[in-house]
Amino acid sequence: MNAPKPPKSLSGQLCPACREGHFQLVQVEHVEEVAEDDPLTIPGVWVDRCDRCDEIVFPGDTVRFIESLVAEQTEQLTPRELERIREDLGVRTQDEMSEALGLGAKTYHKWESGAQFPTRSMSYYIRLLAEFPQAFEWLRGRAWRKKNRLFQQESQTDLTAMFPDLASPSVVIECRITASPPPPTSRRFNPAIGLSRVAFANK
Amino acid sequence: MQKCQYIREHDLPPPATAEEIAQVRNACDQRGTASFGRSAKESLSLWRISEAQIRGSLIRHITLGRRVFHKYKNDSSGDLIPRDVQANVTLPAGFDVYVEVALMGEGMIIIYAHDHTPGKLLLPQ
Repeated sequence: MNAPKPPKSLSGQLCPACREGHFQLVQVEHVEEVAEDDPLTIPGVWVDRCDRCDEIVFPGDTVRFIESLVAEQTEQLTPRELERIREDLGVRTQDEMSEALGLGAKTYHKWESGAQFPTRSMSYYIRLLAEFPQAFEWLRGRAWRKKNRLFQQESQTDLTAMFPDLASPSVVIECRITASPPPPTSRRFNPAIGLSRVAFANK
Repeated sequence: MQKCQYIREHDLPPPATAEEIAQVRNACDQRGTASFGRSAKESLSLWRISEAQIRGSLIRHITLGRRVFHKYKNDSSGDLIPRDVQANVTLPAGFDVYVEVALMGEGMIIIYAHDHTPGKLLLPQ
């Protein structure tokens, strides 16, 4: 993929590192360290380089371009992919998608705006939902909640079947609770007071 | 638990001017140019945060009225680095880092973004 030329750069401005040279927009080969993966070598990356001290500065657009390549390498979904998946799944707004996926209020917005990237595992999960829209509908409708209610009803029936004698009306379990008489009220014993009285009496 | 210790008020470098702060904010809003130095770029990769997040953190810092300071030269001369400001910024992940910015024309370069040095007094927010 060709690196896009950044529309905004510091070309022609004084380098703050050496304060002698000036920046020039040039293309270089950039090596990006990617956690748990091999380093990613990106040719033709646009950077501002000082013509005197070779100090390199990355324009914001270049950083975003590198981030998108890293996301691709680490199989994280890019904002464009997320938007396409959301539209394919028939979800109109980012809020609805956030709600369906059970995310925090702002998380999905951040993903689609590119402010954050979903993790690799979350990307796998969303890819799976994109591949199986039925699964997404199941998730969106929170279908397991109904299933849990059914399970509770079934379990009650099972208990009756397991203990028929308890369920029969002829068995009466009498439960009598008798309250024990309250303890006699007595003054709380304070050993310190008692001792001082003894000491006083001895004097 | 270690107690957080901040640089005393009278030892702090002078605060950045309103114009300088506005310039940082504009650059973060992408109305100006926001670039990244090699060191800051490496920090972003290391912390696994995007450039948008660090710009967002700076905007939040300024919007909340937190402080931005000038920076002294490292040669103990007491001189300030011209057109250079710094702040103790809270990242979305919840930890604080120093962000140092060089103001350029109408834009800026985020030169450094680094953790606090253990044992050193912190710039207040």
